[in-house]
Amino acid sequence: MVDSAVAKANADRVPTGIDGLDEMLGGGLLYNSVAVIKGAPGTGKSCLGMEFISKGILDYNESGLIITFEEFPRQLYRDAISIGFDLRAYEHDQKLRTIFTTPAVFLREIQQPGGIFDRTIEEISAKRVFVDSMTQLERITQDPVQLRELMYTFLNGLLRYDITALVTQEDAFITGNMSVAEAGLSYIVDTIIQLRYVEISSSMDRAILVLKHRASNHDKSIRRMLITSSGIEVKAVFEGREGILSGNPYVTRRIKKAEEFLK
Amino acid sequence: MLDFENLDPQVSFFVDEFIDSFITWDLILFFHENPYTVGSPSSIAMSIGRLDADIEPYLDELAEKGILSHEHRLGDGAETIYAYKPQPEFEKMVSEFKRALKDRASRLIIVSKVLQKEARR
Repeated sequence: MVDSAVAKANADRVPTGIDGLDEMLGGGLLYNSVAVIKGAPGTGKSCLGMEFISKGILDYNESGLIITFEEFPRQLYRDAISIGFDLRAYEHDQKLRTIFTTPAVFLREIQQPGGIFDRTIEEISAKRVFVDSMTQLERITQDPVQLRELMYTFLNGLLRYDITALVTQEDAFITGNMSVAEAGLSYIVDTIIQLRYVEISSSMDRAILVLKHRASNHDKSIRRMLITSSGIEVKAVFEGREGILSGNPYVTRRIKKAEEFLK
Repeated sequence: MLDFENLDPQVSFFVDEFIDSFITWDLILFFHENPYTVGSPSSIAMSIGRLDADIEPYLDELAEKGILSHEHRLGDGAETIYAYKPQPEFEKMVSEFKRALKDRASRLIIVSKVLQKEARR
Protein backbone atom coordinates (compact mmCIF):
# COMPACT_ATOMS: atom_id res chain seq x y z
CA MET A 1 0.00 0.00 0.00
CA VAL A 2 1.36 3.45 -0.82
CA ASP A 3 1.85 5.95 2.03
CA SER A 4 -1.20 8.09 1.19
CA ALA A 5 -3.42 5.01 1.12
CA VAL A 6 -2.07 3.89 4.53
CA ALA A 7 -2.67 7.38 5.94
CA LYS A 8 -6.26 7.37 4.63
CA ALA A 9 -6.94 3.90 6.07
CA ASN A 10 -5.68 5.08 9.49
CA ALA A 11 -7.75 8.25 9.29
CA ASP A 12 -10.85 6.10 8.77
CA ARG A 13 -10.23 4.29 12.06
CA VAL A 14 -11.98 5.01 15.32
CA PRO A 15 -9.69 3.94 18.18
CA THR A 16 -11.53 2.19 20.99
CA GLY A 17 -8.94 3.62 23.38
CA ILE A 18 -8.48 0.16 24.89
CA ASP A 19 -4.81 -0.74 25.03
CA GLY A 20 -4.08 -3.89 23.12
CA LEU A 21 -7.48 -4.04 21.41
CA ASP A 22 -6.67 -1.20 19.01
CA GLU A 23 -3.45 -3.02 18.18
CA MET A 24 -5.48 -6.17 17.41
CA LEU A 25 -7.83 -4.10 15.25
CA GLY A 26 -5.03 -2.48 13.26
CA GLY A 27 -5.74 0.94 14.78
CA GLY A 28 -9.38 0.74 15.75
CA LEU A 29 -12.90 0.17 14.49
CA LEU A 30 -13.85 1.21 10.99
CA TYR A 31 -15.39 4.69 10.89
CA ASN A 32 -19.21 4.73 10.54
CA SER A 33 -19.45 0.98 10.97
CA VAL A 34 -21.08 -1.40 13.42
CA ALA A 35 -19.02 -3.87 15.45
CA VAL A 36 -20.48 -6.64 17.58
CA ILE A 37 -19.00 -7.94 20.84
CA LYS A 38 -20.11 -11.52 21.47
CA GLY A 39 -19.73 -13.43 24.66
CA ALA A 40 -21.37 -15.32 27.49
CA PRO A 41 -22.79 -13.40 30.47
CA GLY A 42 -20.03 -11.86 32.57
CA THR A 43 -17.29 -12.05 29.94
CA GLY A 44 -17.01 -8.24 29.88
CA LYS A 45 -19.14 -7.14 26.91
CA SER A 46 -20.75 -4.22 28.74
CA CYS A 47 -17.45 -3.16 30.31
CA LEU A 48 -15.83 -3.07 26.89
CA GLY A 49 -18.71 -1.02 25.49
CA MET A 50 -18.70 1.44 28.39
CA GLU A 51 -14.96 1.90 28.03
CA PHE A 52 -15.31 2.52 24.27
CA ILE A 53 -17.78 5.32 25.06
CA SER A 54 -15.79 6.70 28.03
CA LYS A 55 -12.47 6.75 26.19
CA GLY A 56 -14.19 8.50 23.29
CA ILE A 57 -15.25 11.27 25.67
CA LEU A 58 -12.01 11.45 27.69
CA ASP A 59 -9.33 10.86 25.05
CA TYR A 60 -10.91 11.88 21.75
CA ASN A 61 -13.50 14.51 22.75
CA GLU A 62 -16.24 12.46 21.08
CA SER A 63 -19.65 12.44 22.74
CA GLY A 64 -21.37 9.12 23.22
CA LEU A 65 -24.75 7.51 23.48
CA ILE A 66 -25.50 4.30 25.37
CA ILE A 67 -28.73 2.47 24.59
CA THR A 68 -29.52 -0.13 27.21
CA PHE A 69 -32.31 -2.66 26.87
CA GLU A 70 -31.34 -4.84 29.82
CA GLU A 71 -29.59 -3.11 32.65
CA PHE A 72 -31.00 0.00 34.28
CA PRO A 73 -28.76 3.04 33.79
CA ARG A 74 -28.24 3.25 37.55
CA GLN A 75 -26.66 -0.24 37.37
CA LEU A 76 -24.45 0.82 34.46
CA TYR A 77 -23.35 3.95 36.38
CA ARG A 78 -22.36 1.70 39.28
CA ASP A 79 -20.57 -0.86 37.09
CA ALA A 80 -18.73 1.86 35.17
CA ILE A 81 -17.44 3.39 38.42
CA SER A 82 -15.96 -0.01 39.34
CA ILE A 83 -13.80 0.10 36.19
CA GLY A 84 -12.85 3.75 36.61
CA PHE A 85 -15.41 5.68 34.55
CA ASP A 86 -17.98 8.16 35.87
CA LEU A 87 -20.85 8.05 33.38
CA ARG A 88 -22.99 10.42 35.49
CA ALA A 89 -20.28 13.07 35.29
CA TYR A 90 -20.13 12.73 31.50
CA GLU A 91 -23.91 13.09 31.36
CA HIS A 92 -23.69 16.18 33.53
CA ASP A 93 -21.15 17.62 31.06
CA GLN A 94 -23.55 16.91 28.15
CA LYS A 95 -21.08 14.42 26.68
CA LEU A 96 -23.21 11.34 27.21
CA ARG A 97 -26.80 10.10 27.31
CA THR A 98 -27.69 6.68 28.69
CA ILE A 99 -31.06 5.85 27.19
CA PHE A 100 -33.02 3.05 28.82
CA THR A 101 -35.75 1.72 26.57
CA THR A 102 -37.15 -1.40 24.93
CA PRO A 103 -36.16 -2.72 21.51
CA ALA A 104 -39.70 -2.10 20.20
CA VAL A 105 -39.75 1.55 21.33
CA PHE A 106 -36.22 2.14 20.10
CA LEU A 107 -36.90 0.59 16.69
CA ARG A 108 -39.95 2.79 16.30
CA GLU A 109 -38.03 5.91 17.37
CA ILE A 110 -35.11 5.23 15.05
CA GLN A 111 -37.54 4.98 12.12
CA GLN A 112 -39.44 8.12 13.17
CA PRO A 113 -38.15 11.29 11.43
CA GLY A 114 -37.28 13.76 14.18
CA GLY A 115 -37.84 11.06 16.79
CA ILE A 116 -36.22 10.95 20.22
CA PHE A 117 -33.13 9.17 18.89
CA ASP A 118 -32.60 11.74 16.09
CA ARG A 119 -32.89 14.57 18.59
CA THR A 120 -30.57 13.01 21.16
CA ILE A 121 -27.81 12.39 18.61
CA GLU A 122 -28.06 16.03 17.49
CA GLU A 123 -28.31 17.46 21.02
CA ILE A 124 -24.98 16.06 22.15
CA SER A 125 -23.36 15.58 18.70
CA ALA A 126 -22.76 11.92 19.51
CA LYS A 127 -20.01 10.20 17.55
CA ARG A 128 -20.04 6.85 19.36
CA VAL A 129 -22.99 4.62 20.17
CA PHE A 130 -23.08 1.52 22.34
CA VAL A 131 -26.13 -0.76 22.25
CA ASP A 132 -26.57 -3.40 24.97
CA SER A 133 -27.85 -5.83 23.75
CA MET A 134 -29.02 -6.95 20.31
CA THR A 135 -30.13 -10.24 21.85
CA GLN A 136 -33.10 -8.33 23.26
CA LEU A 137 -34.49 -7.85 19.73
CA GLU A 138 -35.69 -11.42 20.11
CA ARG A 139 -38.35 -9.94 22.40
CA ILE A 140 -40.00 -8.52 19.27
CA THR A 141 -40.01 -11.68 17.21
CA GLN A 142 -38.66 -15.23 17.29
CA ASP A 143 -39.06 -15.65 13.54
CA PRO A 144 -35.48 -15.82 12.14
CA VAL A 145 -36.29 -14.08 8.84
CA GLN A 146 -38.17 -11.26 10.54
CA LEU A 147 -35.47 -10.98 13.19
CA ARG A 148 -32.80 -10.60 10.54
CA GLU A 149 -34.84 -7.86 8.85
CA LEU A 150 -35.25 -6.09 12.19
CA MET A 151 -31.51 -6.25 12.88
CA TYR A 152 -30.79 -4.93 9.40
CA THR A 153 -33.23 -2.01 9.85
CA PHE A 154 -31.87 -1.35 13.33
CA LEU A 155 -28.22 -1.23 12.27
CA ASN A 156 -28.86 0.73 9.09
CA GLY A 157 -30.90 3.18 11.17
CA LEU A 158 -27.86 3.70 13.39
CA LEU A 159 -25.54 4.18 10.42
CA ARG A 160 -27.66 7.02 9.02
CA TYR A 161 -25.80 9.17 11.51
CA ASP A 162 -22.15 10.19 11.54
CA ILE A 163 -21.35 7.64 14.24
CA THR A 164 -19.46 4.42 14.93
CA ALA A 165 -21.37 1.79 16.87
CA LEU A 166 -20.57 -1.11 19.11
CA VAL A 167 -23.36 -3.58 19.92
CA THR A 168 -23.39 -6.67 22.10
CA GLN A 169 -24.83 -10.11 21.52
CA GLU A 170 -25.05 -12.80 24.14
CA ASP A 171 -23.65 -16.31 23.63
CA ALA A 172 -25.76 -19.07 25.08
CA PHE A 173 -22.82 -21.17 26.23
CA ILE A 174 -20.37 -20.29 28.99
CA THR A 175 -17.57 -22.37 27.43
CA GLY A 176 -17.33 -24.91 24.63
CA ASN A 177 -19.83 -24.47 21.78
CA MET A 178 -19.32 -21.37 19.72
CA SER A 179 -21.50 -20.08 16.90
CA VAL A 180 -21.27 -17.14 14.55
CA ALA A 181 -23.45 -14.18 15.51
CA GLU A 182 -27.09 -15.21 15.46
CA ALA A 183 -29.86 -13.97 13.15
CA GLY A 184 -27.37 -13.12 10.43
CA LEU A 185 -25.75 -10.37 12.51
CA SER A 186 -22.28 -11.62 11.51
CA TYR A 187 -22.99 -10.82 7.87
CA ILE A 188 -24.35 -7.35 8.58
CA VAL A 189 -21.64 -6.06 10.91
CA ASP A 190 -18.11 -5.12 9.88
CA THR A 191 -16.31 -6.36 12.96
CA ILE A 192 -16.86 -9.28 15.33
CA ILE A 193 -15.04 -9.32 18.66
CA GLN A 194 -15.42 -12.59 20.57
CA LEU A 195 -15.00 -12.80 24.34
CA ARG A 196 -14.62 -16.22 25.97
CA TYR A 197 -14.19 -17.80 29.35
CA VAL A 198 -11.12 -20.03 29.52
CA GLU A 199 -10.47 -22.54 32.28
CA ILE A 200 -6.80 -22.57 33.25
CA SER A 201 -5.44 -24.34 36.31
CA SER A 202 -8.86 -24.53 37.99
CA SER A 203 -9.70 -20.86 37.55
CA MET A 204 -11.60 -18.85 34.93
CA ASP A 205 -9.69 -16.46 32.71
CA ARG A 206 -11.08 -14.27 29.94
CA ALA A 207 -9.95 -14.40 26.32
CA ILE A 208 -10.50 -11.93 23.47
CA LEU A 209 -10.31 -12.59 19.74
CA VAL A 210 -11.11 -10.50 16.67
CA LEU A 211 -13.05 -12.96 14.51
CA LYS A 212 -13.80 -10.59 11.67
CA HIS A 213 -12.65 -7.11 10.71
CA ARG A 214 -13.78 -6.27 7.21
CA ALA A 215 -11.13 -5.07 4.76
CA SER A 216 -8.46 -5.20 7.42
CA ASN A 217 -5.45 -7.30 8.20
CA HIS A 218 -6.21 -7.72 11.90
CA ASP A 219 -4.46 -9.70 14.63
CA LYS A 220 -5.83 -13.25 14.66
CA SER A 221 -4.32 -14.28 17.98
CA ILE A 222 -6.33 -15.15 21.07
CA ARG A 223 -5.27 -12.90 23.90
CA ARG A 224 -5.86 -12.78 27.63
CA MET A 225 -8.23 -10.01 28.77
CA LEU A 226 -8.36 -8.50 32.26
CA ILE A 227 -11.05 -6.28 33.76
CA THR A 228 -9.35 -3.98 36.27
CA SER A 229 -10.36 -1.01 38.41
CA SER A 230 -8.94 1.23 35.69
CA GLY A 231 -10.56 -0.47 32.72
CA ILE A 232 -9.89 -3.33 30.35
CA GLU A 233 -6.39 -4.60 29.67
CA VAL A 234 -5.70 -6.79 26.67
CA LYS A 235 -2.61 -8.84 27.40
CA ALA A 236 -0.41 -11.18 25.39
CA VAL A 237 -1.46 -14.45 23.77
CA PHE A 238 -2.00 -17.58 25.88
CA GLU A 239 1.56 -18.85 25.49
CA GLY A 240 2.03 -22.63 25.42
CA ARG A 241 -1.72 -23.44 25.40
CA GLU A 242 -3.92 -24.77 22.65
CA GLY A 243 -7.65 -25.29 22.37
CA ILE A 244 -8.37 -21.93 24.04
CA LEU A 245 -11.74 -21.51 22.30
CA SER A 246 -12.92 -24.88 23.59
CA GLY A 247 -12.82 -23.30 27.05
CA ASN A 248 -10.58 -26.13 28.28
CA PRO A 249 -7.14 -25.47 26.81
CA TYR A 250 -4.32 -27.95 27.10
CA VAL A 251 -0.60 -27.47 27.46
CA THR A 252 1.18 -27.83 24.13
CA ARG A 253 3.50 -30.81 23.55
CA ARG A 254 6.55 -28.50 23.46
CA ILE A 255 5.76 -27.07 26.91
CA LYS A 256 4.92 -30.56 28.24
CA LYS A 257 8.30 -31.88 27.07
CA ALA A 258 10.07 -28.93 28.67
CA GLU A 259 8.22 -29.53 31.95
CA GLU A 260 9.15 -33.25 31.86
CA PHE A 261 12.77 -32.35 31.15
CA LEU A 262 12.87 -30.09 34.19
CA LYS A 263 11.41 -32.74 36.54
CA MET B 1 -47.65 9.36 67.30
CA LEU B 2 -46.15 10.96 64.18
CA ASP B 3 -45.23 14.59 64.36
CA PHE B 4 -45.68 15.92 60.84
CA GLU B 5 -43.81 19.08 61.84
CA ASN B 6 -40.61 17.03 62.03
CA LEU B 7 -40.50 16.52 58.29
CA ASP B 8 -38.21 18.89 56.39
CA PRO B 9 -40.52 21.66 55.05
CA GLN B 10 -39.06 21.34 51.54
CA VAL B 11 -39.70 17.59 51.49
CA SER B 12 -43.15 18.13 52.96
CA PHE B 13 -43.92 20.63 50.17
CA PHE B 14 -42.63 18.20 47.54
CA VAL B 15 -44.78 15.35 48.84
CA ASP B 16 -47.85 17.59 49.03
CA GLU B 17 -47.33 18.89 45.52
CA PHE B 18 -46.12 15.86 43.61
CA ILE B 19 -46.44 12.53 45.41
CA ASP B 20 -50.14 11.75 45.00
CA SER B 21 -49.78 7.99 45.20
CA PHE B 22 -47.29 5.17 45.65
CA ILE B 23 -47.21 4.72 41.90
CA THR B 24 -46.25 8.38 41.40
CA TRP B 25 -43.58 7.84 44.07
CA ASP B 26 -42.20 4.84 42.14
CA LEU B 27 -42.33 6.67 38.82
CA ILE B 28 -40.58 9.80 40.03
CA LEU B 29 -37.78 7.83 41.70
CA PHE B 30 -37.43 5.56 38.67
CA PHE B 31 -37.05 8.48 36.24
CA HIS B 32 -34.74 10.32 38.63
CA GLU B 33 -32.41 7.30 38.85
CA ASN B 34 -32.67 6.46 35.13
CA PRO B 35 -33.11 9.96 33.68
CA TYR B 36 -32.89 9.19 29.97
CA THR B 37 -35.50 6.48 29.94
CA VAL B 38 -37.71 6.50 26.88
CA GLY B 39 -40.66 4.19 27.32
CA SER B 40 -44.21 3.19 26.61
CA PRO B 41 -46.61 2.56 29.52
CA SER B 42 -45.97 -1.18 29.23
CA SER B 43 -42.17 -0.91 29.21
CA ILE B 44 -42.17 1.54 32.13
CA ALA B 45 -44.62 -0.65 34.04
CA MET B 46 -42.29 -3.61 33.53
CA SER B 47 -39.35 -1.58 34.83
CA ILE B 48 -41.06 -0.68 38.09
CA GLY B 49 -42.92 -3.97 38.56
CA ARG B 50 -46.46 -2.59 38.11
CA LEU B 51 -49.34 -3.10 35.68
CA ASP B 52 -49.41 -0.79 32.65
CA ALA B 53 -53.12 -0.04 33.03
CA ASP B 54 -52.42 1.06 36.61
CA ILE B 55 -49.59 3.42 35.80
CA GLU B 56 -50.98 5.09 32.66
CA PRO B 57 -53.13 7.74 34.44
CA TYR B 58 -50.19 8.64 36.66
CA LEU B 59 -47.86 8.99 33.68
CA ASP B 60 -50.36 11.39 32.13
CA GLU B 61 -50.60 13.37 35.37
CA LEU B 62 -46.82 13.75 35.48
CA ALA B 63 -46.85 14.80 31.83
CA GLU B 64 -49.53 17.43 32.58
CA LYS B 65 -47.33 18.79 35.38
CA GLY B 66 -44.42 19.06 32.91
CA ILE B 67 -42.27 16.47 34.68
CA LEU B 68 -42.50 14.02 31.79
CA SER B 69 -42.76 14.72 28.08
CA HIS B 70 -45.13 12.62 26.04
CA GLU B 71 -45.29 12.01 22.33
CA HIS B 72 -48.00 10.06 20.56
CA ARG B 73 -46.90 7.57 17.96
CA LEU B 74 -49.53 6.60 15.40
CA GLY B 75 -49.79 3.58 13.11
CA ASP B 76 -49.55 -0.09 14.05
CA GLY B 77 -49.52 -0.52 17.80
CA ALA B 78 -50.08 3.22 18.38
CA GLU B 79 -48.86 4.29 21.81
CA THR B 80 -47.57 7.18 23.83
CA ILE B 81 -43.85 7.46 24.55
CA TYR B 82 -42.78 9.12 27.79
CA ALA B 83 -39.44 10.67 28.74
CA TYR B 84 -38.21 12.64 31.76
CA LYS B 85 -38.06 16.44 31.39
CA PRO B 86 -37.63 17.85 34.90
CA GLN B 87 -36.52 21.35 35.84
CA PRO B 88 -33.28 21.47 37.88
CA GLU B 89 -35.26 22.66 40.95
CA PHE B 90 -37.47 19.59 40.69
CA GLU B 91 -34.41 17.33 40.52
CA LYS B 92 -33.07 18.99 43.67
CA MET B 93 -36.37 18.30 45.44
CA VAL B 94 -36.28 14.64 44.38
CA SER B 95 -32.76 14.33 45.78
CA GLU B 96 -33.96 15.77 49.11
CA PHE B 97 -36.96 13.42 49.02
CA LYS B 98 -34.63 10.43 48.47
CA ARG B 99 -32.45 11.55 51.36
CA ALA B 100 -35.49 11.89 53.64
CA LEU B 101 -36.59 8.36 52.78
CA LYS B 102 -33.42 7.00 54.35
CA ASP B 103 -34.46 8.41 57.71
CA ARG B 104 -37.03 6.11 59.35
CA ALA B 105 -39.05 8.84 61.08
CA SER B 106 -39.25 10.97 57.92
CA ARG B 107 -40.15 7.95 55.84
CA LEU B 108 -43.04 7.07 58.16
CA ILE B 109 -44.42 10.60 57.90
CA ILE B 110 -44.14 10.51 54.09
CA VAL B 111 -45.83 7.10 53.89
CA SER B 112 -48.58 8.35 56.16
CA LYS B 113 -49.12 11.46 53.99
CA VAL B 114 -49.33 9.37 50.82
CA LEU B 115 -51.73 6.90 52.45
CA GLN B 116 -54.02 9.80 53.32
CA LYS B 117 -53.91 10.99 49.72
CA GLU B 118 -54.55 7.47 48.39
CA ALA B 119 -57.60 7.21 50.69
CA ARG B 120 -58.98 10.47 49.28
CA ARG B 121 -58.58 9.45 45.61
